[in-house]
Amino acid sequence: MSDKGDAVKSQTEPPRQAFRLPAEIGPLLGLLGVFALFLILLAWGGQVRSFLSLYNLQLLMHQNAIHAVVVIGALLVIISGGIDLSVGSVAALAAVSTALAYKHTLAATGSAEWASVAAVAAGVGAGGLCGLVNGLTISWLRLTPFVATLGMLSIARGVAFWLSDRSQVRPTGTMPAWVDSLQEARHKILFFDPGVWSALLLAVGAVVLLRFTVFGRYCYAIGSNEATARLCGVRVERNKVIIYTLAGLLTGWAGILAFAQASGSGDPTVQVGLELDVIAAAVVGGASLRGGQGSVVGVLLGVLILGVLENGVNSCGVPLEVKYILIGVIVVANTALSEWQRRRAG
Amino acid sequence: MNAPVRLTMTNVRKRYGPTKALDGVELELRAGEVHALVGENGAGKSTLMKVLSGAVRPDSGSMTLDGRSYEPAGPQDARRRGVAMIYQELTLAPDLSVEANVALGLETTRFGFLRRGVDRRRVEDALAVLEHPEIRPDASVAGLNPAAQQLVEIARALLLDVRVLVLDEPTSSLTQQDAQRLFTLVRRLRDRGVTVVYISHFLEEVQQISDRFTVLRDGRSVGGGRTTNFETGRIVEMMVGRSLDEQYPRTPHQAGAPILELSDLTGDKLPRGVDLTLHRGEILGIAGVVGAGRTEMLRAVFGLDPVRRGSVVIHTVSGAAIRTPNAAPRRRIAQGLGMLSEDRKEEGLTLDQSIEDNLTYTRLRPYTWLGCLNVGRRRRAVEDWLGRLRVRCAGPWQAVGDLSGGNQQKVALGRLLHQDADVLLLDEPTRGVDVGSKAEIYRLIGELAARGKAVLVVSSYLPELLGVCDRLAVMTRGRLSAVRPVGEWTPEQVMAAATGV
Repeated sequence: MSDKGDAVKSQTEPPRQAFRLPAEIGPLLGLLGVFALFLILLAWGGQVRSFLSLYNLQLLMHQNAIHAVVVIGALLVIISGGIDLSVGSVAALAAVSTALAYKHTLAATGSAEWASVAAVAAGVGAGGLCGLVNGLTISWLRLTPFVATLGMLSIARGVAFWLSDRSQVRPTGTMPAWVDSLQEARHKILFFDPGVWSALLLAVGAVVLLRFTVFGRYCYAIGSNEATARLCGVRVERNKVIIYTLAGLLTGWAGILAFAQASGSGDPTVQVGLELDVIAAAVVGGASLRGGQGSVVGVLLGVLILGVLENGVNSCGVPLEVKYILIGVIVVANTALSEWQRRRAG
Repeated sequence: MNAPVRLTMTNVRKRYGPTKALDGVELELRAGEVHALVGENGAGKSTLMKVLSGAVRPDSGSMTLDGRSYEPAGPQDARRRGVAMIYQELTLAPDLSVEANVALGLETTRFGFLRRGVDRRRVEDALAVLEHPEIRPDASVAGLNPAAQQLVEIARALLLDVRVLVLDEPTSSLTQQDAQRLFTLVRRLRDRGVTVVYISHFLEEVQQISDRFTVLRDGRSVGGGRTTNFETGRIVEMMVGRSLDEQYPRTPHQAGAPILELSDLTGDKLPRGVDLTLHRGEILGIAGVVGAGRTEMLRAVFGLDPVRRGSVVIHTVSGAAIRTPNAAPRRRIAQGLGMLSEDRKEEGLTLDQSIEDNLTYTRLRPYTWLGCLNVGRRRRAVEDWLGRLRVRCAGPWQAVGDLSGGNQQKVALGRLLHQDADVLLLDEPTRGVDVGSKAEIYRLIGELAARGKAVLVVSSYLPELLGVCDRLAVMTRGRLSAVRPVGEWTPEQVMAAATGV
């Protein structure tokens, strides 16, 4: 405590008439910018037709479905002032669990339907369990989210290798139709593959959760100022456990998508580095790693920005290293820009 | 005493916006004296210190050091000129050794490499002055007690040729015994010709240690002289002698049945054995100096800090008594308690969230159905509240951090009103608030009491407590005095009790 009476600043200025553009305007401009950049580059090379094709759009969405699902969970965590480094490993563990459950249930019952149900339950359940453990470690053992999920990053990967006996788990026989349709980028009726639609559905759910529920308000409050949340009677620890568990469940669903995209097999080596892609997308999409700020639409735009970048680089035939450098530049420049805006807004 | 003049300040002024933190300060420090600087909270002591140490530049006025003009460019420059500051909050690096801490920023190097032998001798020389052989250069600072850590800070000042050493509330975290040992060191430094500026709330210490003193009030130096020539009571008069120039709107209210009873309430360190009964329709003030344990008392009652001993009893309207010494804030809120934090920025508000969120965190139920928020209904309700609280803002959706301090405070206090708390624990309700907003906050407090709410106000601004409260008690080092009607206290008595005379 210090003598704060001296530090009283001017109180007489009138309140600023704060007219602010929606926070998503930045990422939207970024997406248009990246898109325009590749349009020009590809028009130069004469490949613009394939870049603008409907199939390329389907492919773009298909390739980013997993990121989109995971970024929703990461958004919850980041809004509450935390971080989840374990999503890549947890997704791999979920994929392996899905494959194992499918394989063994099919062998036991002979029914592809029952096997499918068991597979989805195992995948989502494995993800949720990892998320629950993350939440409990952070709330009860009072570890920082960085350390707790760093531990889970290693543990989940280890368990995935152990369960899969260090090799791909490949169920025998033909895969059911849902796996095939998740694997294809195009869909006859739905246009996009069902994985993309699941991500959009989950996104709508997340918007409702964050904007229209008490739990959502508490997420922002905890990330914005944990002491205030405590003062106002918010059960901070309990809410954190719920947040990390939800993030884990979403990662579990992403693992099932990974299982399907690998033609129905559980590979313990997949999705290494997913956490960095997702955090980058969230930051580019306007979520603040200090907590308290971020929106579903924003982070989905963030995923698309990085997705268009990847897709465009592939179409251009630009070497891979350019993509990595561009992503890095965008993340740093975007954050510097929003910090500058924040300082100017005071 | 005719020692040569060491440092002078002439007509030093500094304003922050409309607030005159320093309004023409005159100060004369002599070589080899202990000079006490006393004044109420907010009198300008900390700004004066910052000016001395170069952390803040005055708007006008001049300073001299040993006859030469003294205009420090920053704390490092001031330190090089021989003016060193020991803050209440220590500034050591806990993971480094004593030696590394003392030499920090002043390391001797050759070609960029540390000359550890040279540094070791310099540090040992500095530590020798302390005459505390138990503080070894290679000891870890984290393992030392607060008294020893403070001595390490002093050793750091001694590494350079210190001419003016400023100690800010140096005994606030020391035991009686450690304080006496510190006084011995202070006298030894004085006898070596060092000028020691001693800032303290505790006038008995001032009497014991200082040769001369200066009183600050409202940013002005209002008096001073040789300490032995003044009775403590006379110094207190100089500190408080201000006119009650502010308006305290009083809403008539009547104290009713007891609602909150504390007995022998004891926290981790503070408070220590507090007994208190708060009634419905009553405004009870707690005076005391910063660090006396008033905030800790409120936090313990509200469940933010643990209660180690004693009891908290809450009486409901039906006459039932809830006895729970320890209950989480969520339960305290359910029991009808509400708390206003002293620190809006760090605890009271989520600054980057909207006004409507900040106002309604503690009572979302009226707008909630199955966990879902009726955003429209809440917005209409909040608009209503903002009018009633007279918050100047663009709308309920505005980030609360965009508001002025006074309007932020109205939102923070409004949360308790919206929550409809029966017992309001208000910690420094008008800190950092302009005069107009202050009057509105007093009006709200009065209206609450008139509606039968019980209000417990902690404030460091005595005129406000005397103007607003029905009864008053003073906290000193964790202990609470008897509660007496406000008319039975004079400002001098409150100051005397708070400063432990």
